[in-house]
Formats: sequence, C-alpha cells, structure tokens
Amino acid sequence: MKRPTARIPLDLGTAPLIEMIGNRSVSVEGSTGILLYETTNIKIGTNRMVLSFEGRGLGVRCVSGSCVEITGYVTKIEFVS
Amino acid sequence: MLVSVVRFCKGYVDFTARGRSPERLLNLTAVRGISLWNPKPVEGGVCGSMYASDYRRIRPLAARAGVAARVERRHGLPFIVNRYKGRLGLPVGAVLGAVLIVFLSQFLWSLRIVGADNISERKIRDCLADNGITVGTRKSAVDVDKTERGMLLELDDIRWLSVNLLGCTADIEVREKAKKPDVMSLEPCNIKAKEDGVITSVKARGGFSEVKVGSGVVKGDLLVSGVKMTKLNTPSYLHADADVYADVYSERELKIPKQYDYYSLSENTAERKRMRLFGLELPVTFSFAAYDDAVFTLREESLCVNDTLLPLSLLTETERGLSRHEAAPDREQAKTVFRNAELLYEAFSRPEGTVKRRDLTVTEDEEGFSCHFSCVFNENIAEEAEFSVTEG
Repeated sequence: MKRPTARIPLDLGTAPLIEMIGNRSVSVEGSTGILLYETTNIKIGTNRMVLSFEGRGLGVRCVSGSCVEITGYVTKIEFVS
Repeated sequence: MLVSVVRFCKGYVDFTARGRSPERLLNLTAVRGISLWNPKPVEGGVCGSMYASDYRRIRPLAARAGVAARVERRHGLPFIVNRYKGRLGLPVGAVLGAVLIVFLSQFLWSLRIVGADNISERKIRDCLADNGITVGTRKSAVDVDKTERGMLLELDDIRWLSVNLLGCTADIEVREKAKKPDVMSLEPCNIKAKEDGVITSVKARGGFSEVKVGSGVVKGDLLVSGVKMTKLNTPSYLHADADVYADVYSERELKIPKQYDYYSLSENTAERKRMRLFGLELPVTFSFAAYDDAVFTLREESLCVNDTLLPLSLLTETERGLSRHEAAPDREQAKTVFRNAELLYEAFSRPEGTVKRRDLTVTEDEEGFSCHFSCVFNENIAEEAEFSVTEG
C-alpha cells in the first residue's frame, strides 16, 4: 500500500513569483522596485530577497507597481538575502 | 497597431533621465501608475518614452530620485497641431477639403458598363442619359428601378439589366438577348433558280434533280424537286437541299463625266481642346481658323486613377480642311477608274462567285466615258421555295 507523501507547508504569501520562458524572458511578480538597471545586470527587490539577473542585452520591457518583465539573454540568476 | 494610434493621438515624448538613482525614477513612476515604455539603460541613467501629459507629472518624482529628466524628442498629434497653431489657413483648408469631398461624393463620377459585347456602349450611355443617369448626376436623384425598367423597354437587345451605385461609380451590368439559333427547316420545299444561267454542277443532298450539267435555266426554274411519286402513284414530300452551280452572265453600265470635282483632305488642320468636368465644358486651347469645307474628329481622353474613371476628361476636336480638285481623266485613267469600281463590285456584291470571264469596253462621247462591263460568274443559284401541303 502506497503511503501519502508528506508535504512541507510553505508560506508563499510574500514570496515573489518568477516565471521564465527559457533564458530569454523573465517575469517577476511581487517586486518592490528595480534596484539596479544595466544591460548586463538587473537587480529587483522583493519583500524577502533581492533577485539579481546577469546576462547580455538585458532590458526591462514592462514595469508596473508589483511586476517587472525582463528580456534579454540571462546567464545567471542569484538570490541575495 | 491600436496602441500606436492611441499614443500618436495623445502625444508622447522620448526622454532621458540622468543622475544619482535613475532606477528609483522607474519605481516611482510604476507605483504611481504612470505608463512608461521602452526603458533602456544609458550611461549614467535611463531613457524611455511616456505620454506628454504624464511627463509633466514626473518632474517632482525626478527630483526625489535625484535625476534630471530631459525631453529628447516629441511625437504625436498634439505637437503637430501646436506647430501649426498660428496658421489658420491649414485647419480652414482641411475643413473645406472635407466638405468638398462630402459634396462631391454625392454625385456620379463615372459609368462602367459590363457585359455589352455586341451592343454599342455609346447606345447604352445615350439610353442611360435619357433615363436620367449621366456623369455628374446627383446620386439621390437616381431612381434605379425606374431606370432599369425604362432601359429594358428602350433597348430591345437587352434581356436583363442592373444598375448598381457603388460609391461614385454606377455599374451598369447588362445581359444581352441570346440570338435565335438557325434551325434548319424541314418543311417540304423545292430548289429553284434565283438567276439565269448554265448549270455547271448539281450537288443534291435532298430531293430529286430536275436539271443536268449544261442545262440552261432562267430565274424561277425548278432545279431540285421535293415531290416524288410513290409506287402507289401518291405523292411524297420532302425537304430539298442542294448546291447548284451555274455560269451566270452579268452586265453593268458605268459612266463618268469628262470633268468632275472631288474633295480631298488638305494639310490645313485646326485643333481645339476642351476640358470636361461633370458635364461642364471649358475651353483649354483656342483656334480661330475656320474652313469652308471641313471634316471634324472628336477624341475624348478621360483621367483614370487606380482603375477609377474620374469625371475629368480632355476633348480634342480636330478640324481638317477639305480642298476641292477638278479632274479631267483621259481614256486610260477612266479605264482604271472603271476597273477599280468593278473589282469593288465583285469583292463586295458577289463575294461568293468565281469570275470565269470578264470584258470591259470603254467608249467616249461628248458627255464623258461609258463602260460596258460583262462578266461571267460561277455561283450557287439554288434558292429554297417552300410549298404548302394540304392533306385531304
């Protein structure tokens, strides 16, 4: 008889939602603002951490109150606490 | 596409913000719901685009972010209007142009006739004019049903007609009546001679030949009979059909006076041009030359743009003067004239006959030259003659 898998409860209420299409487009929901904007590095602040995207030809396609969409060639994602 | 149109109508600016924290400017605008597009990092700042009305709102935000915003380029309708604000003629011209377009759209600019293969287009246009449709007619004055009925009554060769007003063009669609097919009659008939002559060949496809090769016949003689007596001595009737070739003798007398006048085209030419707009004709060039005897030709060239015929055309009227000449032919010239006249007669009046012999005798008297022309044609002299049969 198969036992049900134990699930770890996660508090995702304030965590950012990151959606990626390959390494060409990243959508971050739950951002608190853009901290650094360069073509090789974009840093986005969230409630719990700072997301750092490194790559080539990076650009912000769309900015709204809590959502940022990044396009370009992403080579590295870093979560800075 | 729609977004571009909205942006153009509202007006937008390309700006560059340089200073301590350009990212903060992006965050502040985003938080306040200010629409900003194409943000790109530049050296020491960011550049982007936003609506002109929003740009006025970001000045305090730029100060808070410690950047200096500068407009690089302005786009859109408000800036264009602002540029021409002092020129009253432009909006007035635009309004007048719009009014002119609306006014001219109420008239027919061209007529397009489709489906008239055998009927003259000129005839249809004249008939349309009689029924109230010409270039320049007000569209609201056109009664399509009445025009269609009137044209169908006037033009016998038309089976169906439709008038469609498409914009400023009236499409006249025409269907011609189908021609009655030639149905070979099977009624009993004889073949009779339509001219005097000597038979050279008889090819009877139906009926019974009553003549032989070499027989002489006069007009109305029975050539092929459609009646046959049976063994019971009762007549049976059939449709006679035959080609009966005979040598037919033809005589003609032609005369020309010793002196006569004739007209020919001279080098004197006068050309006048007129412009026609909505049926109104205005002179373009003047020519006051006038000749006592002249012939006229009229050529119309209409302006056509993208297959649309515009109501503007150029009429060129050419007047060519005629000069009068006196001719006094000698005997040889008279013979040439007679010979040519006879050749024309053979070609157009008896095209199916073969000329076997021709003689031309020219005589001269005080009045002029006379020509006796005798000719032998070999041609089909068969002619159907139907007869009625009453059964008793």
